[in-house]
Amino acid sequence: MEVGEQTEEGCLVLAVAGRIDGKTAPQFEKAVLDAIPRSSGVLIVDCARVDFISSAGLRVFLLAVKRLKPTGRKLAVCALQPLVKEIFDTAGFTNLLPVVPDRGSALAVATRR
Amino acid sequence: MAALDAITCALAGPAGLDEVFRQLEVLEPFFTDNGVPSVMAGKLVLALEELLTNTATHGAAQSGAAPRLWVEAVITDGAVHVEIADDGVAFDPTAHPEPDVMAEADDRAVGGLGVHLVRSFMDEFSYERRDGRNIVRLTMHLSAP
Repeated sequence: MEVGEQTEEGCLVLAVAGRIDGKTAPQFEKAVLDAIPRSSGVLIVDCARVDFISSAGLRVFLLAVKRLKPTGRKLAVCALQPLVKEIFDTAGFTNLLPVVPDRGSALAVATRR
Repeated sequence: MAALDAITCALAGPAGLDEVFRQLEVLEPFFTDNGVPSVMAGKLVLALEELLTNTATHGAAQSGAAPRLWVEAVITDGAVHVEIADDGVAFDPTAHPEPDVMAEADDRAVGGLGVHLVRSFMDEFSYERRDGRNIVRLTMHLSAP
């Protein structure tokens, strides 16, 4: 798994590639927790190149939502592949945080209540 | 269409996380190379990761001899059957209570989420304790879209 950092319209984007599983989740967690204090508005996790996630990876998203909540900032996830989207849906994570089709929609989350 | 012969992949090793990920790296291409569609193979690997990491974690908590882990996956023309066995302490994953997948973030716990995913994605999910081993059986039908 690799995590690349980009900035789009002032928002931090983590572009993840590979698998977020029990083996790579600690590395993903470190990248996300490291990005949270530097984010503003919305922290975007672009999953276009993520082909697998297990509960160990979902746990990191839950942790990030909990950390961001008191700051008023948000976490948005975009571009999920079909399997990963189905896992998010089944785990009820699409109710927990904005899961949107692309980065443009993710940026719009920053301005929406 | 003529029925295909069953194709089997059997693995065994110490019930630790390194072994779990070694086995998953063997099982994923076993599924995809033998005609299991990629999304279904992904769900099988997900179910296996959730159950095997549970086993490795519970096994590690046991004192005494290091437990072992066995996985046998069989692909037939209509389904994939997986049997997971370990000789660690008795642990029934099917008895895990369902998590609340509609709860707000503050009330969410990740415990139980893995088993919920297994239950949701597999067509059959059963457990028995026999001869000092935990045996979990999974079936996924390949006819479903």
